[in-house]
Parts: sequence; structure tokens; C-alpha cells
Amino acid sequence: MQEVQLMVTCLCDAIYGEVAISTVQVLEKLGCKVHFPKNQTCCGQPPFNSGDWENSKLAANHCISEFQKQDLPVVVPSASCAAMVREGYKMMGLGSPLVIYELSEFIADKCQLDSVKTWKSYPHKVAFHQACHGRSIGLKDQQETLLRKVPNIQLVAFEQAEQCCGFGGAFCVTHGALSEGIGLEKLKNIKESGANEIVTGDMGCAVHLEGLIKKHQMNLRIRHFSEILAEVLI
Amino acid sequence: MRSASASKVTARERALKTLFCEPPQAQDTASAIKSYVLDHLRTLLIELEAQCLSNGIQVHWANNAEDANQIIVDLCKESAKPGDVIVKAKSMATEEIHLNHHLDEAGFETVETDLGEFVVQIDHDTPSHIVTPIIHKTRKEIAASFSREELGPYTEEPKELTMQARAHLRKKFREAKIGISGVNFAIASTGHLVLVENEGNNRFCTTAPDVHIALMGIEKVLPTPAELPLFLPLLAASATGQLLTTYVHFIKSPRQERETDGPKAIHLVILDNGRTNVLQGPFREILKCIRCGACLNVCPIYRQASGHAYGHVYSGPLGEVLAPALEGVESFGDLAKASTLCGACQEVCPVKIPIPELLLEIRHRANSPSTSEKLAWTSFAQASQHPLVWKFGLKLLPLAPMARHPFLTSWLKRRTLPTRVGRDFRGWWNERS
Amino acid sequence: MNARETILNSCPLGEPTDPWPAPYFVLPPGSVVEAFKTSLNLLGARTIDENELAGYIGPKTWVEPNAGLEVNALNGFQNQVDLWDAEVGIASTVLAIAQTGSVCVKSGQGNSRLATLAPPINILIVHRNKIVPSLLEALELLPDGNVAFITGASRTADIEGVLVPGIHGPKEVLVCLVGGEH
Ligand code: SF4
Repeated sequence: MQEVQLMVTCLCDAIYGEVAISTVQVLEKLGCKVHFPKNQTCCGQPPFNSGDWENSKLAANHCISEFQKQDLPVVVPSASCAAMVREGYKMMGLGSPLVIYELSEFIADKCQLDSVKTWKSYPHKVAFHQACHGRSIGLKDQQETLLRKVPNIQLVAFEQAEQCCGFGGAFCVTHGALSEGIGLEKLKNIKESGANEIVTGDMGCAVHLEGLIKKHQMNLRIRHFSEILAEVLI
Repeated sequence: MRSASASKVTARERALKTLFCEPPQAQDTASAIKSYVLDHLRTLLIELEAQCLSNGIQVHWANNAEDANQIIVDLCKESAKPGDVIVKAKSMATEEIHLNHHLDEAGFETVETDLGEFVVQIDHDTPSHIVTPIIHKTRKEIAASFSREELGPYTEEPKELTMQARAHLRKKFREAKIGISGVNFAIASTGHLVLVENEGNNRFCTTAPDVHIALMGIEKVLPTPAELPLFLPLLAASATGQLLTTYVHFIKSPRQERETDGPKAIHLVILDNGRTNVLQGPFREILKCIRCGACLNVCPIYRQASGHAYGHVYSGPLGEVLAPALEGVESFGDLAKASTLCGACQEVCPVKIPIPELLLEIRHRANSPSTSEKLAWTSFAQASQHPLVWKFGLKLLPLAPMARHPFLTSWLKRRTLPTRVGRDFRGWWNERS
Repeated sequence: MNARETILNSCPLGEPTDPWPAPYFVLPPGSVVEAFKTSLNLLGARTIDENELAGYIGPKTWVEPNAGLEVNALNGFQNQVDLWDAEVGIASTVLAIAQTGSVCVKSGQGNSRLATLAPPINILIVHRNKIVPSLLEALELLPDGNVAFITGASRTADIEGVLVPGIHGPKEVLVCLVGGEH
């Protein structure tokens, strides 16, 4: 049995608990034993992206020491946190102290999906939004490929699908109008495609898009791909 | 404008696939060659200078914008008098040093001859894109400017407007005493100045007047002509989705005995203007840039904001790095914050410049956040080192609207606050075990 | 220290390094002549034969001395117009590239630069046996001197992205193929 440690991410810790729960459930269904280092906090990405590397290092060092207590790979349901640990730590001179995988990457590389014989159907029209930070860890179409395996799911194409949602961490507040413009454009393109659900792999995009959806009272809901997998894998 | 950017993106991909078996390999090779150039700049520049001199091209060196302007104005004074026409081809380097301003002050009639730059000039505007300067203007606005300048009867037809510009600028080419251009690639082993363009104005500027002055940044040199089969199509495809630009000029020497036209004197001005500093610092890779504009076309911020918002001649992702790199993170470091770090720019960049990484590096070096921002990150970092405080903080989140932090105000202006939906992970985990 | 020395002293000399891999081009299938024609068509340019070429000869035609030697129909033609005012410019070329539909013109020895630039219609004479597959060969064979590659008509898309030919140079480029293939 594979053993992994879960990095829950700040956003799931604070808001999107269901995503973290689904992540554990999916990993378990695929035969992994999941550990949760309870003293974990944040990987340090928010201050890092804002240029405050001093404060970022404090958080990063705490993160490293908590996950180094066990010599197990780390799995995280967010490409941007994975990118932070893999690339950001290097840039700050902290080296590569942890082995970390983004969830879909871990499933594609390390798990036997075929071991799950029956999949429930998921008859929904879904727009898949690829979170940009996957680019920096070389993530290709692993998330989309997983979704395509789900029976009866309808993945709809939409205009400028590859474009960023406009979140960008502190950018969404320091450059609020731009961020909003880009986000609304994305939502408009998705609405026009006829989808009523957005699926993504990063809750950063979700927290921003959801804030816009609610403000503009659009009829769209956002889910993490792990939530769908947790539902359909039996 | 946004759809214009998007269609350029698809054309770019199509052209790259038509040209190269493996476009990413072509990009990697181009990046490696540019690394070689930066690593061997002294050797290559000395070789280029020697070749140019032996071909009869005169070489001048300029430490900064001021010197470059002085050199060019002095050269112009040698062969033209106040009131004479100087025709200019599109060149980012001349924009960078604000050359037109100096030529105007010296009394010359400087005429931008690239259609877009010409419109910018008559409107006293600034270009909003490094390849397509008037992407921000509608045909109506252009029509109004043309009729104001009495270029012909009022029309909004792009074809007719273009023909009015053709007729007007053709006269200027015939009159001009001096032509000024940039340089896309300068070949060290042969001394060729390689210029690319679609309109033909560049060719007129470097053919019709008796004197041609070319301005190039030190990083534009390439070792040999053997690099061009890669760079020429890569630049054309990345810039406009073409396989090759309409014109590629290989300028080797002033008019020779057997030639009936072409300039009698050619001057090459080699410009530093901050580049050697960049070369020795952490933003060195931005000097690989070949000014194709692909990063602007894919950038969500650029598409939303347009080029003027950047407040610098270099806009888009390229400008976010190059402006602070050349002029100091103190003055332009904030530009680096205008990015979501989505990485689309790096993906399309023909020379694979790691723009997001460079932006992070600039943010780090420019880090002079407002007190409220600093305070936020300090408390964040404190909490993140103390799991108990962290967990307590999570519990307090619903009270966040009371914090009145500027970040929060900005968030709430445009979005609702996220609320927890479903279960809390830590609670669920504890119950389970 | 003068500017030259200041700049050069701040630039690295560098060590010799390994050569880089050659870019691997997609080569046009079939004969280079056919591929060249296909590329020309995609550019909105087209090929004409010597008979059709003859139809373009008139008082406002400018024929480069070199081109006059290459095509019978142009033999002994005397230019009567100022090149700046000509409506048709006919010039010879030294190379052509199948992959991109480009032709290479060289200034000097009976070829001017303006002839392929100033007249609204430009006819380029290309020898079938001077067509090479790609830019790779073209740059290996790059002639000495002041040279230009021409790929289609002068064009701009500056006004709202609308493609307009002939902004400064020729509105129309025609290629007259002569001679046999190798
Ligand atoms: S940074 Fe790269 S993509 Fe952007 S203009 Fe320069 S070469 Fe082109």
C-alpha cells in the first residue's frame, strides 16, 4: 500500500473542506493510506508571490519541518501549492526538501485507476478550467483526462479556454478592476458554452470566480475535480 | 482588440506547426543560441564591429539614451539641414530613447513611415503594442485623423485610408535625406544588418535616402547567418502568424560601384542604455527577447488593459520585466505586480524567457509594500508558524469583514466573500480517527 | 574610457560551447517547383508564363537590365519612365524558397532595389533550377552584397486588423518561371 501525506492548502483548510475530504476519499479508493500532519499551516505562497520572501520563508520553513517528520511523498489538490514547493522554494534558496505531487499528477503517475472497476455516472454539462499554475510544474492534461473517464460527463468547449481566470493572488485585490474584467470574461465564455458547472483543479481560481458568480447572481457552480471523482468512484 | 489578440494566437500556432517538426524544440534551440550570444557578447560585438567597418559601415557606440540621441542628431546635421525630411522605420530602440523628440528639436521633419507609427505620430499618441502600434484605434478615429491632416477625402475604408497614407508617405521617401531604422539581427561573422518588415517602408527608408542610420541594442547580435533559418521564421510566426515577413533585408554595405540605388553611407549605432547592467544581474534572460509581441497577445492583463496602461514604451509581460530591469525596480517595479503569473507568456515566448519567474524576482527586489500589506504578511507568517494560532485564525474567518484591511475592501467591492460550504476538513478528520 | 570600451568591458567574452542542434524544418512534399507555386498561392501571389508577361510591357513599365537578358519578350526593351513613376517593375532574382514562397533579389549588376519596391505591380523572374526547399539552403547560398527576401506583396493590417496589400511597396507580386528544373 502506498502511503502519502496530505497537504490540505489554506483555502481548503479555511473554506473548501469538502475538497480536502474528497481528496482523501479518492486517494483511499485508489488504495493509498493517507496521513495528515495536523500542525501544517501554509506553504508560504501568498507572501512569496507578493515579493515578501522574508515572511514567506518563515511559513515555508515551518511547512518543510512538519512534512519532513515522515519520509513520505506529499500530495496536494492544487497545482499552485505544488509549484510553490517545487519551484518557489528553489528560488528562495531553500532547495528541494520535499517530494510533492499535485493530485492528478499523482493519480496519473502512481495509481492504478483500473483497480476501480465501477464508476458511477455523472450526467452533467461541465466546463473544465485548467488552472494556470500547472504550467510551472509541467502539468499537461492529466486533470482533463481523469474527467473524461467519468461516465456520461459532458465536457463542453468554450472560447479562450486556456486563458487565466484573473485571480493571481494579491493581484485580484491590488488590480481589482482588471482581475474582475478577466474573470467576468471567463464566466461569460463559460455561460455561452451552455455549461452549468465549472470544474477546476485549483481553489484559488474557485474562490475568485465564485465571488464573482455570487455577486452577479449567475447560475453556475464550481467544483474541484476531486469532488467529482469522490462521487463516481465506487 | 481582444479578439484580434486571440486570432493572432491561433495563427501563431498554425505557422509554427507548418514550419517546424517540433516547435518546442525550435524554441529551446533559439533560447540556447540567445544564451550563447549573451555569454559571448564581447567577442561577438567586436567581430560585428570589425566586419561592419570592413564592409564600409561606420560604427558608433552609445552608453545611454542621451549619447545615442546626440550621436544620431550630429550625424543628421552632417547630411541634412533643418526642415529636411528624415524618414523613420519602426524601431523599438528609437522609441526607447525618444529619438523623435530630439530630431524635432534639431529642426528636422521626422516622419514615421510604418502605417501604425505614422498614425501615432500625427495623433501625438504613443504606440500601445510593440508590433501593432495602433491596435487601440478604430477606423473611425483613424479616418478623422487623416481628414484633419488633409491626406484625402474622408473615408473609413481601411483600403482607401491605406492608399492615402501610401501617397503621402511616398512623397516623403522621395524627399528624404536620411533614413533611420532599427535592427532585428546583426550578424557578427559577416556584418549583415538584418531587418524584417511587412509594409516595405523599412526598405524605402534604407534604400531611397543617401544616408541610413541604424540603431541597435547590444543584444541584437547573432553569431552567423546559419542562425537565421531558425530566427527569421520563429519571429514571423510568433509576431503575426506568418511563415516569413514580406521583406527580409540583408544590408551589407553602402552603395557599391555596380549599384544604382541604396544609401551612400550607413551608420550603425550600438546602444547600451542599461543593458550591460541587466546582463550582470538577475533579469539577464529578458535580453534574449526578439520583440515579437507574442507574450502581449496571450496575456490576459494586456488584453484587458491595453498597452498604454503600462506607462512605458515596452508594455505587456515583456515590459513588466524589461522596464524595471532597464530603469530600476524602484521606478518600475510596481509593473511586475500587474500579473497573475499565469505563465501563458513563457509558453509562447519563442526564446523561452521565464517571465513569471523574473516577475517574482522583481517583486522580491522591489518589495516595498504598503504598511497594511506588510502587516498582513507579517501576521500571516506569524500565524503560519504557530499551528494553534493558525487553527484559531481559521475559526475567526467568518469575522473577517470586521478587519477593514484594504485588501478586503477591494475584494468586497467586486465579489462576495466566500463562505464555507459543507464540512470542515479538520473536524471531519478528527471524527474519523 | 570611451563608450565602446565601457560597453565591451561589461560584456562577457565567453567560453567556446557545443554547437546547438539544427532546427528541424517541415519540408514541402513533392517537387520544389510545385511547392513554391503552392506557397505563392497561399500568399496571394501567382505565377505567369512568358506570354502573359509580354502583356505587361508598356510605356510605364520598368525593366531591369538583367531581366531584359533573361526573357526573350523583354529583349531590347528601353525604359521610358522614371522608376519612381513606373506602374510595373520587372526584375530578375537569384534564388527562390519553396517552403515560404519567397524570392531573393540582389542589388547591383543590373538590378536596383527600387524596381522591386516602387511600382505597384512587381514581376519577378525566377529560374526553376534556382528554387531551394527551405530557408536552410537559402541562407547557405546567400549571395554576397545587399540582398532582400521578398515574400508576397507589401502589406499592413494596422487598421483594425484588416489586411491591405500595397501600403508602400507592390500591391501585386507576380512570378514568371523560366528555364527547366534540374
Ligand atoms: S519576451 Fe518573448 S514573447 Fe515577449 S516579445 Fe520578447 S521574445 Fe516575444
